Order: sequence, then structure tokens, then C-alpha cells
Amino acid sequence: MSNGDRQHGNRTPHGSRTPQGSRTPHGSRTPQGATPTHGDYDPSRFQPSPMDESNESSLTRQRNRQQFNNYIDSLNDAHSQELENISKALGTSISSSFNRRLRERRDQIEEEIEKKTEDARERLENEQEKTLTEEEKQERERREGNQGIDSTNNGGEEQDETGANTDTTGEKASGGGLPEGFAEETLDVVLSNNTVGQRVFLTKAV
Amino acid sequence: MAILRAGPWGNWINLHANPVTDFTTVPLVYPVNCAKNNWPNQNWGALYIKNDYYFEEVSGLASLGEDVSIESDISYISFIFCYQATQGFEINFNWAFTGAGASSNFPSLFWSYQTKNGASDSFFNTPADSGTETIMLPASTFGQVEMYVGADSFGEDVIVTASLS
Repeated sequence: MSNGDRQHGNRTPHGSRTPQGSRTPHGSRTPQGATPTHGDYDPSRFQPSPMDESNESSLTRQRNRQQFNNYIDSLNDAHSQELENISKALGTSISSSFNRRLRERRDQIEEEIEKKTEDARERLENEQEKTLTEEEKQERERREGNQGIDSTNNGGEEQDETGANTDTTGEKASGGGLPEGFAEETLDVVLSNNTVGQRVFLTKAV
Repeated sequence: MAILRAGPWGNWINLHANPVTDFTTVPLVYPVNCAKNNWPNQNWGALYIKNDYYFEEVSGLASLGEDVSIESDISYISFIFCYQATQGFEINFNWAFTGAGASSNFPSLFWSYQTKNGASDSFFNTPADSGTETIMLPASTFGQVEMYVGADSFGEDVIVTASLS
């Protein structure tokens, strides 16, 4: 059978459109014989009033640190006085057993100073933590995060979103890393028997 | 040996084109399939074009087994797709002419393919009122296939229905 006079054209494909330090207690001594009274470091006394501005927060922290230093000074002064008195007593002729007790007491006082100083420092740091503004916390986390990444990069490895190790330093291909500029890409492939699969390729933009 | 995926759409001279989603104009690129299988992110598809001679061409995507039909006294339906295959495979081109004009119809049927590996084939026939043409497509890194079935009844409408399977 014929198609008649009309012809149907076939389509032809075209192109495409185509991220502290410790302090050493020091200070003036109290006059001999004076026994200053002091209590434990009380952070609530140094509690800053709520502030919104980060500058004010910084000032609060500075004030807390100054008060902490003053507290350590008074603590040290009091114990220094007692130690001085003990030393004087040790210099006099008294019984050796009493001398021993005095030395023990001196050691005890020194340990006490060390412990109280450490406790006070911890409390101060905790208080400072509370007074950090949200921005300062984020900044600190960012810094700490960077330190972590730096430390990771020293090893030359990062993890991609799949959790697989992806080395992007490109320093040592033989060490398991990728050459510079290369990345791993998962691409579709046609496998044997026309089955669809995926393979990880080492790719680089050219 | 595995073949790296081309596409997702493409044509003979552009193996890597973006998928088409707007069919208001007939695209000039076609889905690139993995034989008769789906890709992880793209189902098997062929571009269909149907033309009733009096109006503009209408195009869209057809999946395997999906019927495409048109009714007119002069009309055609064509399918175009690209493929990749590590082994040759068969695809069926099904058609049927029905309606009042079927008895006075002058039908035509055509298919062709060509591959980047150098294989090509084509076929033309004046088909029966219904049938299936099985085409053996060879393994290729990239091939393009086109099929066509048309009716011409000089007055009375013919319903042309076609599909791939």
C-alpha cells in the first residue's frame, strides 16, 4: 500500500540549545600581729549585672578578675603572717616536738593556700563563662573548631558528608591523600548485563 | 567493561545536556537511558512527539509500556531516545490503528538507530493495523534511536496508538 502524495518527514536530531594564664599570688603584707579575716571566694559577690553589650561584658570580666586578684592577695597576706609567726617561733629555743608540729602546720597552710587559690581560679573562670555573650561563645567555638581542623589537616584527612575519609591536602598521594585539585565523585555507570551502578572517581576540573 | 554515564539528556552531537522539563516547544535533546533500566535519579524515558498535521506538534515523556495516542485523518507519533548499553538488548515498538478511518488508512512505520561505535540500522514499512516491531539495539557507549508510525486516511479519523516496551 502506498502513502499517497503526502510525505511524512522524519525528525532529524539537532544540536543542543542548549570559622589564664595562672596568676602568682603576691601583695603587700599586713602589719605584724594583724590577722585579716577572709572567707572563701564567693563568685556571687562578683556576679555581674546583666549586660547586653559585649564591651560591658568584657569590663565585667576585668572587674571580676581584679576582685579575684584582691582576694588571692588577702588570702596570701593572712597566711604569710601566720607563716612568719611560725618561722619566728621556730627560731627560738623551744622543744623539738613543738618545732615539728609547727613545721607540719606550715606545710598544711601552704597546701591550703594552693588549694584555695586553685578553687578560686576555677570559680572565676566559671563566672566568666556565664558572662560571655552569645557572640563571644560562638567566636570561641569557632576558634576551637579551627584548632581541631588544623589538627586534623595536619594528618591530611577530612571526612566528607558520607563519612568517608577525603584527603584534600594533595601532599602525598601515596599516603592515602588526593593530589591537589582532585576530588572524589560518585558517578553513574552502566555495568555488565546493562545494570546500573555507581563508582567513585578521582576527578579534577580542567 | 563499565561505561560512564552520559546525559542525563543529550543527542548525537551533544552527549551531556540538562534534562528538559518544559515541553511547550519540542526539545532537541532526548533522555539518555541505560538500556531498558532506570538510572538512580532518572527513570527510563523517551521523548514522544505527536503531530496531527493541522496543529503544532505536541511532545512529552513516555515511559516503557506507556501508550501515546492521537486522533486525526493525518497524524504521526514518534519516539526518540538515547541509550548506553554494555550488551545488546531488544526493544519493542508497538502500534495500532483504530477508528473509522482505519479501513482507508495509508500507514507508514519507520525506525532507525546509530551508535558512536559505528553501528546503525533502519527500517521502513507500510504496517498492518497493529503489531510490534522488535528492534535489536547493539551495545554502545552512546546510541540514538528514533521510531515513527503515521496514518493518512484522507478524511476519516484514525486513532494511532503507540508504545515502547
